[in-house]
Amino acid sequence: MSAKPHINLIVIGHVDHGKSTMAGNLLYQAGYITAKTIDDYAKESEQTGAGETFKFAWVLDSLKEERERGVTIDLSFQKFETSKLFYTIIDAPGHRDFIKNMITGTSQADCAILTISSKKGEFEVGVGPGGQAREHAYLARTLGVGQIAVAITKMDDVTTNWSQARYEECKKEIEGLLKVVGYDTSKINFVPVSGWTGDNLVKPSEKMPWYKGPTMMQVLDSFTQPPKPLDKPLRIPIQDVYTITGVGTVPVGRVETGVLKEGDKIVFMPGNVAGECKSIETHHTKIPVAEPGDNIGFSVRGVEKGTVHRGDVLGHPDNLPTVAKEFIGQIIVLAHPTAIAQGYTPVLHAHTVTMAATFTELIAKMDPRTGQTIEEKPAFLKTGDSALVKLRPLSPIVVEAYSHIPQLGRFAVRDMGNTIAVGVVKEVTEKA
Amino acid sequence: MAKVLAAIKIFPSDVSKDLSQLKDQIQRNLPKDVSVLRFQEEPIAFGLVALIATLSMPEEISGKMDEIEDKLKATEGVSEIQVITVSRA
Repeated sequence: MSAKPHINLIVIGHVDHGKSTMAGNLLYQAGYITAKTIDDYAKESEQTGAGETFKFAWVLDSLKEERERGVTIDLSFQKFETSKLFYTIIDAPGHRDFIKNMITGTSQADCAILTISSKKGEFEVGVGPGGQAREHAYLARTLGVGQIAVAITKMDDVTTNWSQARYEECKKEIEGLLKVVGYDTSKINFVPVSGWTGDNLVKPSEKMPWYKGPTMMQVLDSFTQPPKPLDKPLRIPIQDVYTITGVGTVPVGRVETGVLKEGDKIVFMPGNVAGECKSIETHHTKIPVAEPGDNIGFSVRGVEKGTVHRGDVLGHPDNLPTVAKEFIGQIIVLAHPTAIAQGYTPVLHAHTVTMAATFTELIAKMDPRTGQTIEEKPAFLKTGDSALVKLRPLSPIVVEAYSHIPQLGRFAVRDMGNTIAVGVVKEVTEKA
Repeated sequence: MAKVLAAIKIFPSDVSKDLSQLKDQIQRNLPKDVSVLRFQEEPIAFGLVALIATLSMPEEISGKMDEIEDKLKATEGVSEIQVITVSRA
């Protein structure tokens, strides 16, 4: 394992917008794949009729097949390193089913590359209503990804032809999208690239002398490992609880924010179950202090097993986890077969908790391009709408305002096996 | 057809649970179009060891992840599951 700082990079964007080709060529140019490998795969690609233009994507696919067969068993997820950082790549699945798992998964992305095709037609679909560029920009924000860069791909396409005007047109549109979801676009790099020819991936492009910014590789190296949220209040969503002979009650979870020390007075919410942390272990090693990112089990004094459950959140008595009877969420409706109206009761997923929740009020519908309110108290919401809504869980649950503790302030809304919406908690309006 | 990889932490029902037996039970219970790329054992605390299963599944079939989660939770010897990450393969 590399000693360089580790960072999780999520690659987001519409399917077929050149994610695989770009990643394949980047790995090639960075020296991870030899020219012979590329040529061998290119021949194979041509033989199957996929054509040479897919050769870099083909390389990745072929490497994936090797992984599938267990040939390179250590590489379940793609990893690579630059001069500064060691990256694990998370390639966001296109299917909405997986969005819930991205929201509630414990391994969160630190930085993101939004890839979007400059090709005529493809770009417009990606940023249009229901387009994945739009959804994924929102997803990145919901996931709390602070560092983001944009790769405007397929600059070599005949409809783009390395055009600065097309680049500027695409950039302007994406800037609008990213601003609405809350990004400061003045700090975001927009890199025009061709995954196929490799322009601006590692070396500055001669075809685009008008572009003076960094290459994709330089952008990757500009990302930093985010600091641990040590200064936030302690929050540990409980994943499971055990009774261990000779030890007692042992809750298990991942520290999201703050610090837990041996001997700390602790409280589990929403049950308001108080106790004391006797000792903490991770990887079977006793540790006096647990920090964000640590997967721990800890023994507690004064707490019976049946009184603490998965979905509870641990905190300190002087800064208790917030228990919400009702809260305002800012959501984007990803897919709903008809329309969402007041009274709709799907299932809410946040950290380790799952709970039915009712849409008690549709407060306002917002323009997804500007963030401005376009309708107060709308009668219903449909696919693609961005809105402020009031949600009331069937029983109170712990959530936090996203602005305060983002790790506990995001959620997914599911119904009948579909991910209906994702959102962040704006404000807890009624506390238990 | 695109594949999705998921790393899922599986908590055994009991600290003394035989993990090789649990791996077999999990393998048997998973849907046929889902394969286990590998199992890792993650020691947690006080003798408790969780399994981390890296699974490969088809992306396009709706509800596949729900089916996997349900099957895992219904497997004898499994207490809770926690998805760590999902990514396209």
